[in-house]
Amino acid sequence: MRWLRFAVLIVSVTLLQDGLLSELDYKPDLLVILVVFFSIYCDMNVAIITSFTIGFASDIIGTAMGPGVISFGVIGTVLSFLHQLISIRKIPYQAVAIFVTGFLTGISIYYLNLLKGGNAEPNIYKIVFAASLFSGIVGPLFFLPIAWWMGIKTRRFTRR
Amino acid sequence: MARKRSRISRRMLFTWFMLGALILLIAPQQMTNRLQLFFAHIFHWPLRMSRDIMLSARTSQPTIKRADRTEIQLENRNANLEAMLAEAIQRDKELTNFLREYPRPGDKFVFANITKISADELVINRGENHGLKVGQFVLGDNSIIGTVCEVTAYTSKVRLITSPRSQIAVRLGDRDAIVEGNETAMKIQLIPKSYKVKTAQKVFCKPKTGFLYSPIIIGTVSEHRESNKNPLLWEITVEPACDIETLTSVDVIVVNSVKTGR
Repeated sequence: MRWLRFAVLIVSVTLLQDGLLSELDYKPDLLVILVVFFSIYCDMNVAIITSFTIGFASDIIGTAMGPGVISFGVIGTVLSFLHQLISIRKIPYQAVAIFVTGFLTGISIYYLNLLKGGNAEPNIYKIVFAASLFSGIVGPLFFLPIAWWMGIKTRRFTRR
Repeated sequence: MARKRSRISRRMLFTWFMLGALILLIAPQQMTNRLQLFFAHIFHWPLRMSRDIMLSARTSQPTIKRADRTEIQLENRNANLEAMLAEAIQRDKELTNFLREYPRPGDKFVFANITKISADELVINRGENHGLKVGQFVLGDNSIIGTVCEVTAYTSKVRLITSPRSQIAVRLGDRDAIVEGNETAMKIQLIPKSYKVKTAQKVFCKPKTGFLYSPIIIGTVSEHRESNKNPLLWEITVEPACDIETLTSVDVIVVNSVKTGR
């Protein structure tokens, strides 16, 4: 794992998510896409570290610290564990994995934020569903450039 | 043996990270906000630049289409009625006798012609003798355009909502806020970024005992961006709901002073 490249990737994606994409009404969650990518293409130790780190990045640009780290960390770890049992190799499966991960993290971040005294959102399920669906559709397209940057060979991977 | 060590290490890794995450979760918000502020401060320049690119791309397209005068009046009236309906439904839950009392008998609109208009004030040809007093709200094209700030027997001065001295309590969605004049537009500050603000979202003047008993539109959100002073807050620009410069007459809301027992 090239950790320096990972750090550059995380900072760039976080800035992109909070800067350029923040003004859009409909946008993919790039951090969710990253979590799924590392859970699929890296071993479990790396997946745990990257999931929690990405969660931290999500909190830094979010409303409160903690919910993102827990949600991304737990769900990323579970996804990596599941990948040992079920291969998520084809693009449609990856899209579904991104959608489910996005939906679960979105909802758990929302409820953990409420615990921290955040504002209630009446249409939270609709909003999270739409964002996850969008992430699921465009997510697999980002896998190739991420793999190229991280120097991970996506075609040669096998189920661990 | 190696596999066993690796499994323990994996569990420990997960446990340590979870512990850190839980500490972050239970840590006071003021402490954790510093981390977010630090990030926003360090990457202030790229974040500002990328947002400006998006905003300029958006503002190059007309976001709020200006219709003709009658259409604006009807749109504002419709927005006011919708807000009144929402307010009435909410109050109905709290006060069962609200509908019997509203509208209160004797409330009226005093029609007035504009005799003089300046950047932040206008003078109208109605005064104390017509029931006007300081603080009353003034309507133009069915939207709030200012408040009465000076009264003589036959004339009054109206401080426009765009005046830098104007501060009016408003409602943005389900949130209370203060709108301040900013010469050509208005600004709303102190709204946290966690609150979702939309362009073209309607801003309503908050009811005020003795002056206003139902929300009336004051403007629409034309732009919202991260505050320069605090990156956790929005800086919202509100455009007046009517073209004040082209107005020739206004209506002053004179609320009935008779006590109804509420």
